[in-house]
Amino acid sequence: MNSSIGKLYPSTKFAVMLLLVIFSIFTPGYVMQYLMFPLVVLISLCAGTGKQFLGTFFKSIFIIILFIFAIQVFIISNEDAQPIWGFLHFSQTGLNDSLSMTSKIVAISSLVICFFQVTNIKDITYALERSGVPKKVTFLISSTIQLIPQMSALSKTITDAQKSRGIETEGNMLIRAKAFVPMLGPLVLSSIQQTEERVLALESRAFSSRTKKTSIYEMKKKTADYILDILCIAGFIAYILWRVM
Amino acid sequence: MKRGIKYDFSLLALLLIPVGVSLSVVGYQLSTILKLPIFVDQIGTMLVSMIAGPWVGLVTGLLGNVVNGMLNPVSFGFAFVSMVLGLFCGFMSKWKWFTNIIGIVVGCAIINVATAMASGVVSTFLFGGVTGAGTDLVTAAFLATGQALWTAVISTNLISGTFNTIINFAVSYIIVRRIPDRFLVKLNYGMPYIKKKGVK
Repeated sequence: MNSSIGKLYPSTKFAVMLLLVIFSIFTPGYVMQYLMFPLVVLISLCAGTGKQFLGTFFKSIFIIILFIFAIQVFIISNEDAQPIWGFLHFSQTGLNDSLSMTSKIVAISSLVICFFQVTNIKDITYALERSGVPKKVTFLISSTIQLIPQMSALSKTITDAQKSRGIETEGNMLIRAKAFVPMLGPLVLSSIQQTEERVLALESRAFSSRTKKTSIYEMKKKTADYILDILCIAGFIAYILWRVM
Repeated sequence: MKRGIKYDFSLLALLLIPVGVSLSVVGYQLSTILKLPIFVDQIGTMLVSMIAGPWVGLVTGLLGNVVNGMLNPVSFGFAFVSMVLGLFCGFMSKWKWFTNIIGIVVGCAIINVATAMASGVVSTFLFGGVTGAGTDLVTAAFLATGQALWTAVISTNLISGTFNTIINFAVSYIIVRRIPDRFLVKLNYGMPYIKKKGVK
């Protein structure tokens, strides 16, 4: 996040992402969409998140793509299917379908992963707030992001506490399933209690008041942001012209 | 009494949304720790929609998938499913279906069918019938018997969804029943679950 890409204004990064997503959706064929993947890898390497990006990509998207190919090419019975063995057959239509489908999935999801890896959530919420999104919405997003690690830490504590009281977490399915409620119950009840306290804390800090609030965290658009914004708009117009002509 | 959507989003309900989202995430983590075959990943959405109403439940479902989507963009597509779940569960709770056993059974069945349809639509149109989970093998088995993609996906979702809905609902219902009355009164939709009768 400390690289020159990470320091760009969030809306600039979003504009670039959106433009590339539009390219991937509306360009026919699949070559350009697959080329998006090396491009995103390159961007992530420049931003210093290359390793993270590849890890996330192969853990989530790669598996689903393999499944799509397997099901579309070998299992769905299209008209041009040629039998291989048993219920397996090879179909050219299926191959074409899955190529055009997976290419879009690869392009869009790698762009999305990359965007969230090079952009700080704090920056996103700040930019949203500046652009006029209600405070309630931005607060919702940032507090969710902050609460998840807190709650998982709390649930680890509760799990340890319940284990020390002798709850069984190993054994057959039924025993393990029974352990679920005693582990989750205290978590919910304590977090609901905290919710009430948080309401009081927020109200005492004038959260519901309608006046404009100042922020201690500041971020400004730089020259590079303006240049990229203009390039994105120009690219979009050029793309529309090229597709319509 | 006719009340707008804005009435649903009181500050208390608003603060329940992050709790619901993280509850879904923690529930998922717990089910992997306990090595359960079913992923209990919608407890938070169900819980919040039961006690805070359909629209808050819808936002919880959406936000939960958006947060997951930051790590795994596939879940952006399935946000629609969680939104449907939150909406249905919320309306049924509002109409006091979950106060008797018949209502619970019928309600669960309706929720199951609705989410199976929604998830079928999403996975067929966006991912060619694939969800990236173990249940894809069931879809493949259905396809191998010569069924069309559409029916295969819907039947798989109905089967796996039945267990999912029952377990998610059971866990969140037990937890709702444990929430103290003094908290439920403060919520707009907590009335059906208050244990102490008499003063109304």
